[in-house]
Amino acid sequence: MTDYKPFSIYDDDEDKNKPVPIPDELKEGPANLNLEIEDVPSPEDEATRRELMRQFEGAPAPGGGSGPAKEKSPSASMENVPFLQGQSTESVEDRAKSMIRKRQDSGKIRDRRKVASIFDKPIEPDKSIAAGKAFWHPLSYRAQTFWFLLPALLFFGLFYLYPMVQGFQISLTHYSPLGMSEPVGWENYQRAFQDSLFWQTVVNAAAFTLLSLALGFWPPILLAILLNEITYGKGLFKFLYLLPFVIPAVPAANLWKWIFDEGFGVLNSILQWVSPSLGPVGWLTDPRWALISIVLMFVWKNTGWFMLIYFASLQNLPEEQYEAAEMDGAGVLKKVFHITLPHLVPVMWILSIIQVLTTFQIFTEVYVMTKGGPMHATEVIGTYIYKTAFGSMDLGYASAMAMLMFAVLFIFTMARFLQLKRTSR
Amino acid sequence: MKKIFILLLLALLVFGLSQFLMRRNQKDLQDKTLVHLTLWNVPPKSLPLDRQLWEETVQQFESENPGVKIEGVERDYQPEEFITVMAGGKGPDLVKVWVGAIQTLANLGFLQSVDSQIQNWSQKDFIKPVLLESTKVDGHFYGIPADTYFLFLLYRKDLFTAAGLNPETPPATWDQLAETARILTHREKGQYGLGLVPKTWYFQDFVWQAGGEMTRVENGKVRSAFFEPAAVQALRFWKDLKWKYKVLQPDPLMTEAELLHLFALGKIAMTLGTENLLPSLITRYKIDPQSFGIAPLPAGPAGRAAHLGGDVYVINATSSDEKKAAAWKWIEFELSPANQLRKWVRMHQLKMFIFPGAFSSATEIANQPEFKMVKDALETARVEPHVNGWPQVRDLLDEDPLQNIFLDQDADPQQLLLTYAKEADRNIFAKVKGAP
Repeated sequence: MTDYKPFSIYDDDEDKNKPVPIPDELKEGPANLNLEIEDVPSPEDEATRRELMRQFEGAPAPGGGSGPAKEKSPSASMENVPFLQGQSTESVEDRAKSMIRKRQDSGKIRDRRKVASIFDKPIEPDKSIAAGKAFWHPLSYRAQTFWFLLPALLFFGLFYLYPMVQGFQISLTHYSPLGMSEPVGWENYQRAFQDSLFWQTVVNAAAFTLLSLALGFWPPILLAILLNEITYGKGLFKFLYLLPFVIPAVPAANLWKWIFDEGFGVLNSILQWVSPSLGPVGWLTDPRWALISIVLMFVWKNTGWFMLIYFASLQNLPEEQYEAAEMDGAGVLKKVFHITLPHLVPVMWILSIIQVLTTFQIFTEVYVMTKGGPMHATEVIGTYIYKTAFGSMDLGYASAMAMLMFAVLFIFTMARFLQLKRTSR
Repeated sequence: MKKIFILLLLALLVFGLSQFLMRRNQKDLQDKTLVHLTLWNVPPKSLPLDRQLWEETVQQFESENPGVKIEGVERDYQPEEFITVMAGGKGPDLVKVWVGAIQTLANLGFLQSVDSQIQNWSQKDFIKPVLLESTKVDGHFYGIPADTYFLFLLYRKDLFTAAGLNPETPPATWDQLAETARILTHREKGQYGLGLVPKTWYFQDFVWQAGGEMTRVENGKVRSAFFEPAAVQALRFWKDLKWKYKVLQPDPLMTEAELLHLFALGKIAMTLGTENLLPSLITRYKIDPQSFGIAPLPAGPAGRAAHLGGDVYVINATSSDEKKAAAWKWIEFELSPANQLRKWVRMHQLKMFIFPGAFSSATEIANQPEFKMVKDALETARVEPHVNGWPQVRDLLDEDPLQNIFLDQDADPQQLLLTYAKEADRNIFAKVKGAP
């Protein structure tokens, strides 16, 4: 094939009215189209194929006549094809679809993706094409999806769903692990509502969440934008920022416990070196500072991870948008506020949800650094549940508190996702 | 020839396989007749001498009891682990737990009563009575004291010498403790006289030394006693150590492990601890045993007092009768005077650090000359209040009033203790049955 140009939309195109040469691979008929629709031809297929052949090769000219037009030029042959002349009500695609439906009915199509691939777009992807098998058949296409999901579903069911159901059952009892649990109805839940310490832990967890959002929301975005802009050392900076995240929580919390130590900590040493009047501060022993100190540690630990997610999202932002903005005279701030940040909004939503879920359930950092002290100033729901379950061995009450926490987080997450869905629409 | 060779080879293979299977079957049969006893508290391989000693003990036991096979597990009692394995039906047949945990575990139904075994046990009358009584819940014995600890004063002899103090005369009274700690405190060097964790576990000893009690049982009902004048005096002394003498470590909420770390670094000159900390100081921190000393806790206005505790052997209530019987055999063997003496000799031979608490209180090991320094403390030792609800009251005191006294210079000890005594009486003691 040399200069095949089937259609031209330009009026000044000199070749527009010239006869269109037929590509070599089409000259011998549709057999060379490589439409591997099926492996097993059926009588219906054969009939369809013949019909197409007849249309290509032996269609009557508009003026009448019959029989194959052997002397005609290839272009003339093409001109006589009814569906190219607008005479047929059926497009090629419709024609193919009807063929596929016939295959489905006769159970010949094995892989609808293979069929779809010849047409550049999926064919009715939302409709079940059962490959000759019923919807419920274990080897049908939809069933195959289920089999692939099954390991994950089993894992989820065994390690998440089952313990949650068990936890709910336990929350309705005075639990005894050896099967002598006494059912108490909603007593443990009532107890939680009357427990002032439980409410204090809720307030502390909420304060922790808000503080960590206030302090930890923007730094990763800013760092991601800066990292996206720099030319050299991207890998090094990514590694350095991510390092705190890869340190396990317990050693990281221990490290910061010593940094914050009132007498031997490096932070107070620096403060006192700057000015003796500045310290020492009881970072973890003063109820006014303890919670915020843990939040600082948490922000330090997670900023790099969130930054990496924002950075990855920025890689999908087309450069052309910035170039177009520059051509329109946009400065750096305008580009950030009108291109970069709007692009990051969906990621911000997701990460803010993750941040709320993580901080509301925080346990390790608090337990290692203060164990909930001083005087419950850092007592969060996680530490209180742990102490109730394994200190007082009151598993029924601990499970009730865990269920309440789950309910709050579930409602929050659902509300956020619905909001996100509405916004994206 | 080739065929004969192949046939011979096949015959040899068949013979070897049959021998292997026969031996395996014999071993299986033998194993089936054995009682497999799962035992926790096996020393980790990182402590090779302790491990060697334990393996020798197992060997000796199995040779004397051929029907029992010991299956040791490198795991110590931790509430969260223990409750999980018990709930999953995988609990050990025999384990050592803290004496303070007996009440909670017995109430959960985990522990087998050992009333009948203890009646006929030859060592019963030699065990320290307060210790044996502390294993009783609702009139039944649920454990056998395996070893003991008592609280003592741990001090750095090298820091005493550097400060011009006699390292062989540690403080013997509260006043001496405060004065010695003041001399040893050098804030500019980051060195503090005394390390103290604000926990009931330590506070109760000071209350006893002041002549008070933590709880009282009246007409079969338990009530708080830690608001009485003696307890208030003890808390005032703690407050003075922090705010008047300023001799305590700067971070008042440090854990015992962190204090031990500072003690090992020479940042703290004295602290309170149990003798089971000593091997850790020597093996982990490589401290010369001659550079630190142990002494009885200083006497308060009412004299000396220190609390005694220890690990207690408990038998799993869900184990089979054969395993329960085998578990009792192990307890009898391990705590027998012969085995305790053998252990003492081997510890000497292996050059291990020896402390009296490593041995059963039923033995006379504590009378050895090397324990002279702590013998007095053993004589005045007491146990934690053994009443229902005490674990919760202990947690209540730990969380608020004791931390408060170290954090708030203006806190009033009397008011604090009174407030929490009322709360303990109303919310905890009023809801439990009373004395076990």
